[in-house]
Amino acid sequence: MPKIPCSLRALIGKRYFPFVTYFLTSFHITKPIDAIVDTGSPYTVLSPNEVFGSRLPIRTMRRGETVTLAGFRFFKYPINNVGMNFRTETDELFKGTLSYISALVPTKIDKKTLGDVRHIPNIIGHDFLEENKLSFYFNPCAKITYLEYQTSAN
Amino acid sequence: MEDSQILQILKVAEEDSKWFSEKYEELQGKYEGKVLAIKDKKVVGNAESVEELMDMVQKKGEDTAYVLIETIPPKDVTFIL
Repeated sequence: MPKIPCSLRALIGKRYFPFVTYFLTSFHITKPIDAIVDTGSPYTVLSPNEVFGSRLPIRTMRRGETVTLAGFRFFKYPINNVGMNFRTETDELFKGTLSYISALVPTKIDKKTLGDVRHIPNIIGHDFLEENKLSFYFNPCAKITYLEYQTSAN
Repeated sequence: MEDSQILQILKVAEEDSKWFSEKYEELQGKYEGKVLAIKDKKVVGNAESVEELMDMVQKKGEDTAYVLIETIPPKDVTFIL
């Protein structure tokens, strides 16, 4: 099956975490995004840094469903019908889609909270893998990680 | 946007991401606790907040839509997602 290479980054205690770079296309944001692949996350999210950095209208996004992540509470504002494009190992484009990506907006917008949440990463979650029929391989000992997708040929 | 343009942007962004991963320890010593903008294997801006960072990047004439935003958490902070 064709592969999308991921990279490994030693963040905490020299442990390796799987990252992948994709190009996000949406009505609100169009840019390259570096995200951690987290199969334990039910949702694919844009970090508070991407949300604030893209100068989205935060005031109107502070409503609706909330989620807790890394001990912080966020409004999960949906940005609908996004494209998520990846470069494959054969230098082609894999065009993924997602019915919505969640923009994380802290429920508390005070200086301390904003300071604390700025290190939360973008996440590719379970929803994206499922909607696009992707598999994820991660072998930290051998330092191998990639996403794998099905084509009509396989 | 054409597929070829997206592929070109992705190639540059992937190289920047790889560079950031490889240099992480070195950059941690210099930018611990900061938010960084990475472009063409260089730190083109660093700040305490992403808003401040975007202002800085814009003033340098960079397109904020094509920089990677990365952070270097303090060494004593661990996130369990």
